[in-house]
Amino acid sequence: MKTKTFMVAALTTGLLCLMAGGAFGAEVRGVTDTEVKLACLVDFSGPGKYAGASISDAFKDYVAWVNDQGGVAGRKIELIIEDGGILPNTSLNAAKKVIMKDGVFAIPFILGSAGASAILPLCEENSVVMMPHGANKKFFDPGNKWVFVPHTVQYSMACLAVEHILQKNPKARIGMIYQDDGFGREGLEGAQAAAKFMNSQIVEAAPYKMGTIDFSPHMSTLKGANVDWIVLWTYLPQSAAVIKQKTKMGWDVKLISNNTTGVPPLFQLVGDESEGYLLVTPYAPGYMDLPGINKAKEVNKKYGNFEKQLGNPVYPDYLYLAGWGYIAAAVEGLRRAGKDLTPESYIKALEGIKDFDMGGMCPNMTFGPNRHVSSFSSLILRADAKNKRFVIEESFKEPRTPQH
Amino acid sequence: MEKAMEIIINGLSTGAIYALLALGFVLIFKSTGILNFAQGELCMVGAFFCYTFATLLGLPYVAAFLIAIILGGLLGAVIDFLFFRRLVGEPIFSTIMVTVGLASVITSGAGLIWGHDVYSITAPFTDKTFVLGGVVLGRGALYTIGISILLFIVFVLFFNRSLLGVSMRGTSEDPHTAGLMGINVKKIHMLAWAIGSAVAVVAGIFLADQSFVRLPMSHTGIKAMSAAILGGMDSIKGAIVGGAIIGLVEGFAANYLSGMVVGGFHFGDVKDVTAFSIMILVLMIKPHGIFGKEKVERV
Amino acid sequence: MGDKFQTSYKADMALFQTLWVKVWLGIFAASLIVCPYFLSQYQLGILNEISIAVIGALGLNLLIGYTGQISLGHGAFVAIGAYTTALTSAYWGLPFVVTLPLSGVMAALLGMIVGVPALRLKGLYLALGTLAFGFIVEYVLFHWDLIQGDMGMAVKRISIGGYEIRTERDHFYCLTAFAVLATLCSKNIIRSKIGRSFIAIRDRDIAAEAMGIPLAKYKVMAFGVSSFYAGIAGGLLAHYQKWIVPGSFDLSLSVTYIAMIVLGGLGTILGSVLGAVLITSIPHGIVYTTDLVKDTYPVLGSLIVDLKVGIFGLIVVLALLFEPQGLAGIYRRVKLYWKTWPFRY
Repeated sequence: MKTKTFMVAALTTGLLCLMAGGAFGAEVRGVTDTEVKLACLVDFSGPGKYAGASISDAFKDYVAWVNDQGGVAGRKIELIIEDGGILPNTSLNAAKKVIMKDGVFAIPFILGSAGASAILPLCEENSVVMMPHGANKKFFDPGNKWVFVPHTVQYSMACLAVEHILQKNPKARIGMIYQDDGFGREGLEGAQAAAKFMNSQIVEAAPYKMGTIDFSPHMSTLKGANVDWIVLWTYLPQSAAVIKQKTKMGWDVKLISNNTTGVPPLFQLVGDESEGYLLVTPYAPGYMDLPGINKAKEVNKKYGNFEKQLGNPVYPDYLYLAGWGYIAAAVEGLRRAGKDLTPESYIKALEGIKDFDMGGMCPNMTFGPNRHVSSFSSLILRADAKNKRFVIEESFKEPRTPQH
Repeated sequence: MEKAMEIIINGLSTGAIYALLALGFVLIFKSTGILNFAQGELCMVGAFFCYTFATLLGLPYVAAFLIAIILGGLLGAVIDFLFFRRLVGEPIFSTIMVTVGLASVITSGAGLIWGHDVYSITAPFTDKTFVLGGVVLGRGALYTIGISILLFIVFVLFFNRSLLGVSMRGTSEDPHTAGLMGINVKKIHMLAWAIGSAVAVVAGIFLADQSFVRLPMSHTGIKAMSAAILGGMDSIKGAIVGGAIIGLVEGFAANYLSGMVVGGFHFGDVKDVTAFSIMILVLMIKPHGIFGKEKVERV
Repeated sequence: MGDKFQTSYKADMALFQTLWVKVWLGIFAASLIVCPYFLSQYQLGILNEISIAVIGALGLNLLIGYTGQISLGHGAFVAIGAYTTALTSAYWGLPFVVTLPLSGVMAALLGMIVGVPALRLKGLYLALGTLAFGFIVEYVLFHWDLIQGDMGMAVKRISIGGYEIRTERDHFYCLTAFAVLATLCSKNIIRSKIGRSFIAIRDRDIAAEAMGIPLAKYKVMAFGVSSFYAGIAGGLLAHYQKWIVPGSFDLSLSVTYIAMIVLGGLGTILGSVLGAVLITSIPHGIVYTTDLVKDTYPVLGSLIVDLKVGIFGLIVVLALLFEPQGLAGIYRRVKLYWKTWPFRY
């Protein structure tokens, strides 16, 4: 008898909780009158660990700066930085935790495109806006309501790389080495589209498995195809290995690569051999005297550890600035949405961002109802081995190849 | 023709690394009966040792090389002392799984100590090249091939001529009887682990010259396992031949099959999967490899 | 065991042997039914992951713990199940009631194909063969256009007879039901002729053959049954996550499953369940601890994060060295201790 009473009691309590839960559901998750919760999923473990510190530095500094000015629409931002672990299942666990346990309003940063795909259903279901880094074309073409990319995507950068080569020499024979996954194949597609648009072609393309370091087969295939430019859709260790292999073979081929390799460790890995290495990136080098970068430095001096961060010549400033771009876009959206902040109003607000001034640090950002990627432009940097830094080879430019 | 020559020479220089790693597998397996899945991780740690002394502390390369080998040997002995001494006589599942677990523990520890970035060691032969049959080759490759042939000769002599080598062989045949014959089985096992990991460290340092020092280096260990299986798990000769074959086949496959598209299937980079396909084929057709001995099981 | 004194074969073969077991199971079942009303979405999410892990771990324990066949490729069979579900529901529009058994059968078929070489291979050769199989499955998943490579593909929700499962709570009831069913099935397999043959093969396969157990049949069957479980776990996982990427099914998933059965206890049903519960909770526990210490000891927080990579490996090593019987063994010892207290043998 007692058990029965207990069971009834338990069930009633359960139902009550449920109803209470329903009542809470009417409010917006992660938003109160005084606070809005945002999550940044970066990596502190696993292969993406190199990016974790710099990106979260930028997020922390920016949020501290905004909160010091009184927050956005009377709300302070509470930032939750979570280890995403780059693998799809670790990202999924991290996203579940920040959405269901911490109850965040939006996820303005997630590293890794496969991880971003993995958490997409969860975000859609819980009405969470997310901003993936390392994003692919499919996030804007056809696009998804909940996904915004405040960055130039790999596809556009690859287009620009090929256009740069063909403008210098329309008869250039272009080869490509690309990582055999979504990231690399996206680069390949962009390069092929641009080559076709310019009435040329990618003569030979050699895929490599993520983590490969021995590039002798790839380079000998490309040499066999007699190419004089190689587009690299690779990460830093692979680019460095290709540079080494090039020297080893005594082959004077020109290289152009993507944003991920534009970090100071390149100079430590290959030294003088990096001279003349080109790369396409949407962010200007951190030592430049530009209003946007100066602002970031000023904020970093005040809230961060400037000596170890932006003031340090070997700090990966590209990652800091990219993180800055993401949180700046997210906060601008909050600002535009104002007092009445719901997922729907936030999406409307983000879509209303037009020509948002980034002070030359990266292309100005523009979103629209059918355009969830902020920009198609990038600039081209050249490695200056003597001063161990990157210099601008060609200023911001949108690829001429159609992007849809 | 020149291209084939290039593939062969490059394949052999990658194969030499596999051969060195496979040699480590065989040495440990031959004396203790344990297949060490953490061999690739030992090789990675060895490269990090060398990096610490050569690049961080600025010691001369040869000194750093030797210190790394000694440290690697010690690490092997410690691993045997801490883990495998307790596991003598345990089922094979336990020993295999302990090495698998150990592999991820070592990776995690190395990540804690050295971090997840990419580092480089500057060796005297870094970026020096020579020309062989019209093919330009790194001098590091030459050293790797040379050292693996040298070690092969040393170990064949060691196992056939020296008392210690013969007792090691005896221990692997029948540890119980060997113990009764007055052989110190524990010491033999520890020695096997020390030599096995020292060889892995040599492989790691050469691998670091061909590539860089970083955590995912350890994946090479699994490919070297195919080399050891192909040659025969208990044959030193097999490790060398197996390594060379895997290196060559991989090179040809990567040059002629990579990037192909058949129907809806992208071949992508076939280099890694070639090694595993060879492993499966060998296991199906001749599980004991080219030179391995088949053991008769008694109830 | 002192507590197993039976007077009839019927009692010895009973599914739940004592009244106590029945009472405890009743309480457990009741708490499973009511707990969704007390737990948060996040906690229910963890329980759902556990249910799926229980199914996979039961399958692997049948193969490793009961039949003694080493497999380092369990993750590959989970992947096969997940992708069978995803492909058949996306391209042929098959309903859940068809896709789920199909993913089990598909995994079982491939499992039996892998099992055939197991007739010749033993011990470490089998470990290597299954390892290579796992890598090849991973390679195929990454390179097959149909499944859209490493970016992954979408999977529909579970819908049974027109009712679509949406919330974590609905998932909880559905997935727990499958986990309970899987547990009962393995319990039944083990106490049947098949189970006894598995155990005989594990203890000494040559002797088992001499006693008249057809080795080939039962070894292949063990691979088939184990992969069937993995396939079902994969199919449920695909529906539950609604998006699958090949990167989730690598060697580390196989090692995680092995950690479950090693920590829980090889060759016990209870062990598979306990192991799945613990191993699945550990990463969440780590996240929870990191959150706690993040503000006070930021350095410690980053250390813990690095440990994540090696934690399962460490558990496997420690369990095999110090407690080869796993948690189920500890439970048995504790039970025995109290049963004879204070007069020990």
